[in-house]
Amino acid sequence: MNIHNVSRRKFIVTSATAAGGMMLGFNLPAQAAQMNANPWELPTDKEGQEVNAWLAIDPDGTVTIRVGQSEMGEGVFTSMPMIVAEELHVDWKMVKAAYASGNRYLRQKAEDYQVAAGILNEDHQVYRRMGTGGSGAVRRSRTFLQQAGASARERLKEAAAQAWGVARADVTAKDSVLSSGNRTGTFAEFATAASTVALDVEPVIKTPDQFNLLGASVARLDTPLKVNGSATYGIDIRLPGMVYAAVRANPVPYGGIDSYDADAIMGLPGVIQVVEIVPGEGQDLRSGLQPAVAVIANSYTRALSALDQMPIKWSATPNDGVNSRDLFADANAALGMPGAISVDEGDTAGAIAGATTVVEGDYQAPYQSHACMEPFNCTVHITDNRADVYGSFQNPPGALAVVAEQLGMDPINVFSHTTFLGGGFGRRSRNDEPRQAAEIARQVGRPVKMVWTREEDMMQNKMRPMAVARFKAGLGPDGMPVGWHARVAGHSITAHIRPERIENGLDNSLLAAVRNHPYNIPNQLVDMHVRNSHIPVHYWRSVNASQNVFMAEQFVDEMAQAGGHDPLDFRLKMVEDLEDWSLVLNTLKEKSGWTTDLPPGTGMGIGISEEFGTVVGQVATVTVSRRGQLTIDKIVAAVDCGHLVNPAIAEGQIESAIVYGLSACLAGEVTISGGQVVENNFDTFKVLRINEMPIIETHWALTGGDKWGGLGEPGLPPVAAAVANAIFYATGKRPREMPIVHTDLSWG
Amino acid sequence: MATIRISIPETAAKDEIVEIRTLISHPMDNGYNVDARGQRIPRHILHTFIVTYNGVEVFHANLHPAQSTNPYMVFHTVAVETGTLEFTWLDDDGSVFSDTRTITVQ
Amino acid sequence: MAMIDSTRRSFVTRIGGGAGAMALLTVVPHPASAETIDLPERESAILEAAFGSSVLTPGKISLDMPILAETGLSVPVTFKVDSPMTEADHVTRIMGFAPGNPEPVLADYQIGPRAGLAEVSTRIRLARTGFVYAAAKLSDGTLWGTKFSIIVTLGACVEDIFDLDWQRDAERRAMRAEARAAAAAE
Repeated sequence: MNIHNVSRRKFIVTSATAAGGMMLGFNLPAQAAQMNANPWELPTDKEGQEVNAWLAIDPDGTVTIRVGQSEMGEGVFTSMPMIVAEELHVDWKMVKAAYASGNRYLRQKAEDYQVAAGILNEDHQVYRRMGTGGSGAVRRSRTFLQQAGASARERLKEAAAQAWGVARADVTAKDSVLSSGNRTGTFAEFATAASTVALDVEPVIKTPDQFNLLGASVARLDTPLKVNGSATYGIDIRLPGMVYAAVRANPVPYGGIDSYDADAIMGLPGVIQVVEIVPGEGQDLRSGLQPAVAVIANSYTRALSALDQMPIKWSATPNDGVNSRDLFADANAALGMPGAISVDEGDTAGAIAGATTVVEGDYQAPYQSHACMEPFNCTVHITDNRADVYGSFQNPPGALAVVAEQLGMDPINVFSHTTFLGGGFGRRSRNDEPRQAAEIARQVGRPVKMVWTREEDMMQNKMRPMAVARFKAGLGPDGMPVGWHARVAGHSITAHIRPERIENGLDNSLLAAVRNHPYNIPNQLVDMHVRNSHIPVHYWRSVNASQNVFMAEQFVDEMAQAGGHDPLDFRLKMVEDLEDWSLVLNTLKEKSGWTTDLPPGTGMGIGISEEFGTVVGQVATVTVSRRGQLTIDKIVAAVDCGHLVNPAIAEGQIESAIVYGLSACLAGEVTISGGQVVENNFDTFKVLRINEMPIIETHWALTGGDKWGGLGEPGLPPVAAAVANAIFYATGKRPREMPIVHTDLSWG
Repeated sequence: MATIRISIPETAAKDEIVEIRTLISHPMDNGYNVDARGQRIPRHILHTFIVTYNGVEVFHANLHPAQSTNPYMVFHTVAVETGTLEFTWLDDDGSVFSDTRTITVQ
Repeated sequence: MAMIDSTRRSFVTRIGGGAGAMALLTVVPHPASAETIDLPERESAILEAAFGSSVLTPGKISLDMPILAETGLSVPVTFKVDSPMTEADHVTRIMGFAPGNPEPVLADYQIGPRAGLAEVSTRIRLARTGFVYAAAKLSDGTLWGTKFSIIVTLGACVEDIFDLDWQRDAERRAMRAEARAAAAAE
């Protein structure tokens, strides 16, 4: 009996059950064959006939569909091929997924590559946009993936039409079979001919009402590999002749090395070499390369053991005294000063001064770690005029580019091989690890696998920024807001990555949900201060919304309470002119059994936000004991992402965002002491445990139309606010600080 | 102070084309970066680089904010005679950095 | 003493490496570049001021640079003009532009027959994915140009990640301002 098939079936049953009462779609039979465990390789030994860059058809009818995004659990190896297959009319059981080549991406332009003078973007490359971020896989790829499938289908039909002497319009394509009258042929038979067909006009792609496959909860193609353990992650890479590197940087990020004693460990078993990483001139913080020392050995354990035993003296840095308390004090002090103005509508100060009721609230959120399950790693193999880099990359062409830059090689001779990702959450788009691994491999002259310890992973992380906010609102006689003033002070990611986008101290990306909330308030003022430290920052799932929604949506509840309104109805009233927000709120109201009338110690709370084109609202039900013990009983989510490609995967995205968001809002935080990250492993960095996991219900509230919102991130921000608001109704106490564990929740 | 590094052959055959490489340490603040408070770091770059060979200008570069930190330049000159090459960089703040190298033509 | 660290040395080797590596570096020209070098307006104006004209004939000048950069902070580039560099026939000026940069001029070199070889290498900053242009003026007054497309991965990623949400915010605010103005008018 085939163990992994049984496991996979169980998994499918589980996801169908979790779908509960909502649209369930159907589970197609298990696919005929698995993906390759090494997803950068073609699933079959022989290269199939390529009809276009996105798909190849093998003689046995297997269709390999290439995917430009990285599989980190979000299901792109299933959802993206589904989009192509929808138009291709392929038998889904014959579909396999593989990564598109990062190297080919940079070598080849798209077929319809046409640019106006000077205007060129990544979408002009053959795979349009590679890399994963901004909840953009389906949102930004759907049309060209549909086009790729439709175009291939019409070429196959045209090839058959020419062979049979009939018009293309008389040929139909269904389940990998072409037919006209009593003649039939397979896709495989006509693949070679189709590859040379030129179409006069590209076919028009389907509209959602014409979809057959899209909208179905097709089983994930990668599940069997992950269940039976054969899926290759970056940390699983083994190359012939490979050696291992254990690496360590100054615990104060970007601090230097004063001295180290390589001789002290050179005699240890298996130790081959000690390598020092020295950033080149002009390689500043943005390059991601920092001073570090690595021990090379014939096993990772030996390398790490030797590194632990090697005396290293780190240089003193100007940041050795930095701590979280001072950083928060500095940011909070900024809240007392006018900042760079993002929006100034009406007369906010006047409206608040003349208001019946004035509401004020301060909030804060710390640096936050990504804490990917798979610690950072990268394997680099350099030969005469070629470099191969293996790893868990969210941005494979970027990985390729940094290796090329670091080695002084032409990118054309660098090949990135993306594995499955053991968590990404934005962290794996930074590409500091391929650069470091390339520099080590350059010095070692052999294939090197570099692995960070958990401690290194967390101490040298590029964090979710810290932020503080102050809100002030004026309510009219009807208890509805007449003025909204929000001020944020926080660490700016943009300042590190695209500083030229900051004008007069204004970085709008710090103001997600604080400025671009949908509430109809006549007078609004939003201003901000950038407050950076030496702690490197980067994107963290849902970016600044992850903390801003916690703050802004709690303040909306504060306004509702002060104005004597039900918080859900209060929000509904402020978005009554917005179809999608209203639908999401009404769905929540209905599905959650919304009430504020619960016994003491029990509460329901709401949080809602819009990100990457998708509106997600959540209602949390919590229980708090008199001594302050918090239990999250249930989260009900309502989501408008417009349309669904694969409801089961979409639901998984919402659930996973809630888990990740709950971890951060309940106990996860990074504090800085002595310039260093304190929480460097899971003993101090808390993540949600299985017994803390609430029941989650996801309900789709789809407005359809042109909306195709993202799903990877928008499910995250509301949960912290929903929980915090629920706590308030349960206890009368408002957690103003993330993580909530810092607030004493005892009551009565 | 700016560190200057110049690579040029000490000797060359008459009329040989020699390669010259120069590197000068300079932040080349392009006026678009911000400090930890989100405030613009004002433009401060080396705006001109001039090379003379026995007093005759042989290379002249107008530098712009698009020039990377620590300007690096590789260019050529014909070894016409034994003599001195003078390398001069002009800074936005009025500073002048210069260094010389001699070349012997055999 | 090595003037450069080893990383840079390999870069220099590549630049000066000649045939093998060079052939790979030279990228298939963009289809449009065969007929015309269509400089955008802002860059045309700069070239007009510097060269007296912005009409460039494709050819003679080449741009050697990687086709992919991660951050665009320090991208190696070589400007090379096919010229005998004699008193009678030489290059007088070379310019480079990146329309995607806030200030587009990348390079502006004045050289002459004393250079012997019309080839300059340096490192530049690029803000985003796009075209890079090079132009050369010869002693006979003719102007030559080329263009090259480069992908800057990090820049482009940050560029548009939040665009959709900001666009919606702007639309909502405009809609409500209009509604308020209409209500006030009544």
